[in-house]
Amino acid sequence: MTDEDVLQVARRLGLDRAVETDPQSVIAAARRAGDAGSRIRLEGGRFGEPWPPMTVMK
Amino acid sequence: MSARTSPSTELWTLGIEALLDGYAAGDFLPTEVLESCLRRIEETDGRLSVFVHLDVSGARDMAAASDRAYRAGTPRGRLDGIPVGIKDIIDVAGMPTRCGSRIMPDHPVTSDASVTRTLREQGAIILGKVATHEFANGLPSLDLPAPPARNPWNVDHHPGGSSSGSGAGVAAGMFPLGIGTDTGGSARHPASACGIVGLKPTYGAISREGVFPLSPSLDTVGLLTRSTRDAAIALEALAHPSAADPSSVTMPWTTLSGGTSDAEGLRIAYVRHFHEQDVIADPEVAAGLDRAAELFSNAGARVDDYQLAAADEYFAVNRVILHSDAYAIHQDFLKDQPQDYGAAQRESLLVGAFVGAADLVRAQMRRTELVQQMARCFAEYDIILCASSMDPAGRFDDPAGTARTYARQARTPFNVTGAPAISLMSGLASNGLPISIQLAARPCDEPALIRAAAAYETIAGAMPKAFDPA
Repeated sequence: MTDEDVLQVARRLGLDRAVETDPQSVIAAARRAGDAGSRIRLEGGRFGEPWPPMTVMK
Repeated sequence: MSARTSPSTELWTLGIEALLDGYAAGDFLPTEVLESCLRRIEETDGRLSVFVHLDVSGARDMAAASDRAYRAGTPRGRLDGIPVGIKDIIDVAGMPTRCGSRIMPDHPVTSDASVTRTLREQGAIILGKVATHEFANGLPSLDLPAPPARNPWNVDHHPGGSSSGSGAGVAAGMFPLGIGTDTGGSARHPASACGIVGLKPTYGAISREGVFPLSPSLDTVGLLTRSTRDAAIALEALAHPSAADPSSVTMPWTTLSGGTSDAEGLRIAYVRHFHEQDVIADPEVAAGLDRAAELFSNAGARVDDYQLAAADEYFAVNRVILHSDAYAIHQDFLKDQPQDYGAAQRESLLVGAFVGAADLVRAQMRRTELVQQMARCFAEYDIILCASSMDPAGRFDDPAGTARTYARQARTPFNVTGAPAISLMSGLASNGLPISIQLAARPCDEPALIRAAAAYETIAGAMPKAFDPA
């Protein structure tokens, strides 16, 4: 997704003023959301799988 | 004269327990304590920027009422005559709730938050509102209506946040009780940075009615004090559900401050991978944690290494939920007046606009797993010992370093799971700034948490204070 695509999405969400005021923050926010979502999806690979055994080291 | 005071003791240096003892013994009155705190505020707030609204007249009226109650031998509650600073996202009738932001109106609110009402019922002296990061989120910023609070140990350094004023004010001697909030560690962080005690109770222990929300499924009212016993007294007084906060619950305990404070027989899970593998801690912080484990062990506790999920998994879950919740709350402001936020806050709040529903559902599912995993730990152990902050507080003139150190922590796991947790000073780093440890207990088991924390304070010995003579 290009920066202009991000700004278009933001406008569709009603964030026109944010796009006009500070487009770089809108673009940075979208990138951060992508990172946060990626991290969850990465961890989400374990859904339904048993946890690794909890090791207790004396 | 009570055992805890002498004629040369400055009253503003005393904690909650010592003040209550002094009142009960007739050594001094709340009006004398208040005037001592007001002098301290006048001496120090010009360089610490703790207060955003100070109500001297109102505080004097409350202190006079406390005087009358003690003279009559009928104190009104557990906090009668205790001066308190309240984070500026919590409503206090007659004062504005600006949330550290230009977004919020300057006019006073007309009703108290639930926790403020309880403070009044318990006889506390409400001094005013203290600094917060904008809407209790993010980092210290210089583009907001009020300057950021500074660290009493060294004003070139931040005091942690977002409950920055609550922590700096307690550490500086302005008031013995700071009311903060804790959504990802915001009460425990200032405690770590300022060398005091920061208690995040079990999620729901203190009603959040009248507290401006950041992330309702994570937000918790937190307490900042100079000792564990002070935190226990305050939590006894303030743990209170309200109908307007459906997540608030009645705790299964009524007293916390009178229990045992020995470590004998405690079962402690030492989660060292948080600071040894997941986020590599400053060596002095790591040494403080190992020392705490050794002290507990020597005092008769069983201390075992234990493995939870990696810290980053908790951070990922917290981040997605927090950004989604915060955007839901700020959506209209972001559409109508985005220019009125500080730049960092605007970007942070906009993140939630782009978080997908599927990611939020995944985060909620993952959160359930993390709760279950930690419950298995607490089936075997009474207490978790781990890091709070991985570093001493960063410098204001190093914003990149500050951003880095804010993220280097292990407080968020206990917001994700709702477990009570407490940050305690473990010493001073070689740069003269406080370092800390963190203890946590199973949800609703504040008695075990307070016992372990009080035991640590005993076996670790007295810690220096920011206001000790140089």
